[in-house]
Amino acid sequence: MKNTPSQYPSLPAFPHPCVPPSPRPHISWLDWITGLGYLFLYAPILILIVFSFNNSRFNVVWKGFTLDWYIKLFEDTKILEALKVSLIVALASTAISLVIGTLTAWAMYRYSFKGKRILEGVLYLPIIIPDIVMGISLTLFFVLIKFQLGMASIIIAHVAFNISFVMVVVRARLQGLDRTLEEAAMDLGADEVTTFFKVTLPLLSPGLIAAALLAFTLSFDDFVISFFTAGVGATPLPVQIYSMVKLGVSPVVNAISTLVLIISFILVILTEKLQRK
Amino acid sequence: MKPTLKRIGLLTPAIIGIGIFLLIPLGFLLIYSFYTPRPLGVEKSFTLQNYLGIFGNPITLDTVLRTIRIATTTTLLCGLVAYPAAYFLARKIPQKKGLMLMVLLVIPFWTSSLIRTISWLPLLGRNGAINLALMKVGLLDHPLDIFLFSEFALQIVLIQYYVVFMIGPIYIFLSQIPENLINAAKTLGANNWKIFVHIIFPLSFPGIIMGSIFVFVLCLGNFEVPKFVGGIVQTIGLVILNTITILNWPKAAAFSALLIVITLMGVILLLRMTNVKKIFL
Repeated sequence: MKNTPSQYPSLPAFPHPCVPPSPRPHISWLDWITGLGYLFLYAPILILIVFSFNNSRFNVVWKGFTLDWYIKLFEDTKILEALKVSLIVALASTAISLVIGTLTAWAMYRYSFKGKRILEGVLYLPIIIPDIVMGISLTLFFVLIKFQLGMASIIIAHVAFNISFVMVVVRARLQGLDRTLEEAAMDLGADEVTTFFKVTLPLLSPGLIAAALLAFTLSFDDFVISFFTAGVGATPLPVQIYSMVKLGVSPVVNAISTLVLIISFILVILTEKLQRK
Repeated sequence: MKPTLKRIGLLTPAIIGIGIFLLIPLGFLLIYSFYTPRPLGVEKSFTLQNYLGIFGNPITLDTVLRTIRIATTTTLLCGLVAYPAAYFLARKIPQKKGLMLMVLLVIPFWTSSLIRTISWLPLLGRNGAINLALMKVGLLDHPLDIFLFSEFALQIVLIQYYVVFMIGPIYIFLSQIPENLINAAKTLGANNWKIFVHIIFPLSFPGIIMGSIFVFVLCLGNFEVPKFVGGIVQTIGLVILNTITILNWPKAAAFSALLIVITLMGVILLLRMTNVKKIFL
């Protein structure tokens, strides 16, 4: 019997799974919720940006356009100094924790050994210990061992919590990695180190960039741990802003946040571009 | 190099970093929670007074319970807000676009968390947008104060603070669901609802748990939000801050120990709801 498909009368038009569904013109409730979510996140920030150009000392009504607050900002050496401290701390702690976190993630992914589960729990601790507890315990520690509070103590504190976050992100990426690529490299004669740098690392790079961005964000944005570990030696931006806000919200605060926002926007777009290369 | 040596070499920095700068300080803090507070210092004599003071006092006990309640509701509400958004980003639009929108979501976090709190003031305040809008519509005849300096305000701002930590993990888990699985279900005749209930939701559940852990933990320790928009609402974080300000280290240490216990209990409870390996391994 010749079983050619043409023998069957009209086959039901079965939607091929690979064919994407035709785009629906109407907006679904999911779009609405997502849109509202973004509005919820951005509305206060947009208002903040608008008020940074407001010609009034008060954040309530719009009085007209001005750049005064930005001029005041660039005359304020305290804020500029705090911005510098924040950038140094964020860059240093990101770099250190990226290296340590990646090595750890790789070791935990590659090897199994005694006590791995306990070590695992300990490595995740910084994620689940509340910031304020970490902040005051580190301050107590630094004071007791007579370590000068300042830039170094903030960087150490930030590395301590960033290691775990980097590890989680990198490990998630490692988990999705195709092991056969590493094996192929080794079959072709590459040793473990070469394989790591030539195969694993490039495959990991999206994860590494994501981890670096996360670490940088957490460090740059961190207020609580910096607040406790900063001492009088160095004042990062969030701590400086805290002391300014305690005396009432000045539009200068709005101006500095707007600037930070714009700079980070540019950074993120650059990272995107780099990642695509 | 022998594998053992390599293993030790690779793990040493993390063990030193976390061991010295997390475990030892926490140990010190625990010891301090049993010392006797004295004006401007401590007396190194053992006492349980710091802990008894927390549980014996109805006001502090109330603060502890309120902190747990606020953290729990924030976690639940974040989940409700985050899931549809994460679903949209991961499964409704092309991957490139979804990733870009994710990045957009993270950008507000580059402003200091304080700024994000402050930025709510013009919205929630007495002359703020919400009051004005409600009066325009006619639902109110005079502005209400409850939108600011209240638990309501605290709740709203906390959600805005932390919803990203919920969207992120859910997004990751949702976008990792293999397309074949869904196609297979479709081929076998499952409709969209069935696919969601039996495939998509269970596979994204670890993401929800992971996000819940982040949000719950972050809420518990937060003190800047209650300080600026919470009014008289007290939380453990705020109490710790105030106790530190008057240099009562032992009492702050006892509160911190309690906070750690609550955190661990919450995390363990959440982890039991899913297969731990799916999250961390």
